[in-house]
Amino acid sequence: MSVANESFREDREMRDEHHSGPGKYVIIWGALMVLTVVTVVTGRMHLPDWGLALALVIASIKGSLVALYFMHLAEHQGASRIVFVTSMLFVALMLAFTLFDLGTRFRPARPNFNSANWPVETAAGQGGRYGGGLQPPDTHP
Amino acid sequence: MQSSSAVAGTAGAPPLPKLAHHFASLEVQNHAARLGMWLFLATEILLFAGLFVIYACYRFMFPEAFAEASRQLDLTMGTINTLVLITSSFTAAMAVHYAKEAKNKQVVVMFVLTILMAMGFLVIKYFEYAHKIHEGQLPGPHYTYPGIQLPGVAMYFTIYFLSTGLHAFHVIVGMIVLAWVTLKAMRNEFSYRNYTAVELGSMYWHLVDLVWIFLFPMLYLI
Repeated sequence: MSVANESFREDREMRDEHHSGPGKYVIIWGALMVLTVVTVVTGRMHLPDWGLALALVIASIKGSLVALYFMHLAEHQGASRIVFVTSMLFVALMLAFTLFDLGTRFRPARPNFNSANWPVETAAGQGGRYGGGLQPPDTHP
Repeated sequence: MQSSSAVAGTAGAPPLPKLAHHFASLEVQNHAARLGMWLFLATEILLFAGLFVIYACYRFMFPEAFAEASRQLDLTMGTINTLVLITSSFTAAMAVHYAKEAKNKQVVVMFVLTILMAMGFLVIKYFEYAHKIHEGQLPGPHYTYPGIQLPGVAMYFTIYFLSTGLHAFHVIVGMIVLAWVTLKAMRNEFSYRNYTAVELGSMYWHLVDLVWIFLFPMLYLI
């Protein structure tokens, strides 16, 4: 009967939940509109170093607002949150580890490898000496 | 989606959904339906995440081509589409609010507005696609645009059409789901005891919005 007891406990807990009204939705909508304008304005500046990071931070804030208030994650307790956070965690893992792989690969093993620019710092007369695609042993690969 | 096969209630009273015997109450049953929806949305998030990872990898390898190609997109149309989609998400959220208060007429109004904005989104998207096709900015071997000839630029348009196409497909599915819930609202089915269909349909729509919130800066801005 433990399942049924769990169920009754949840029933009790859920009666205490608060529901967001239209006022909150209007505020969230306004915030999302403002953030869209902000991301367009900053995006058009083509900020060289942190433009990408800024755009992703703004998108994450907007996404969190949608998930928390429009999708009611803020007021619904428990399992739904775990599901959402877990999916985000796996998105981050998939992205990070794929980029780790690509970023640390030996350059000729990358799909964008252009053999015209390789090897990069070989001294004159040594082209092809270390197997063509390798640098001299005293330089770091 | 949920077990809202409404049983014929007494005349006048809004019908209640059938309560499965292993749930203590309708609220718990609704909670279970919501959790199931979240599980489904998690798979949707991971589906789009695959495309985001492809984008990240190719952008990492061809930064110049991606920067140049993203400036070929119509930022005005993209921004209008973002604002339209966010507003449609707002009306979908309002529909849930009205469904809880058993105001079925307002639910219908809000969902019709949402569907109209979804149509507007698709029309703008159609004009963007038509322009891209006309210019020859197409995926892979079909890329014929002479303006940018950098390695990797065709890959940008492959990703552009794949991700916006998959998103547009979700918009269409969302419109069908919302139209179905609108029909239920027209039959005055929703009340405080029974609004799960409205809530889950609107959650699906918010996911469509959520995905676009990330696609927009990725493709148009950076």
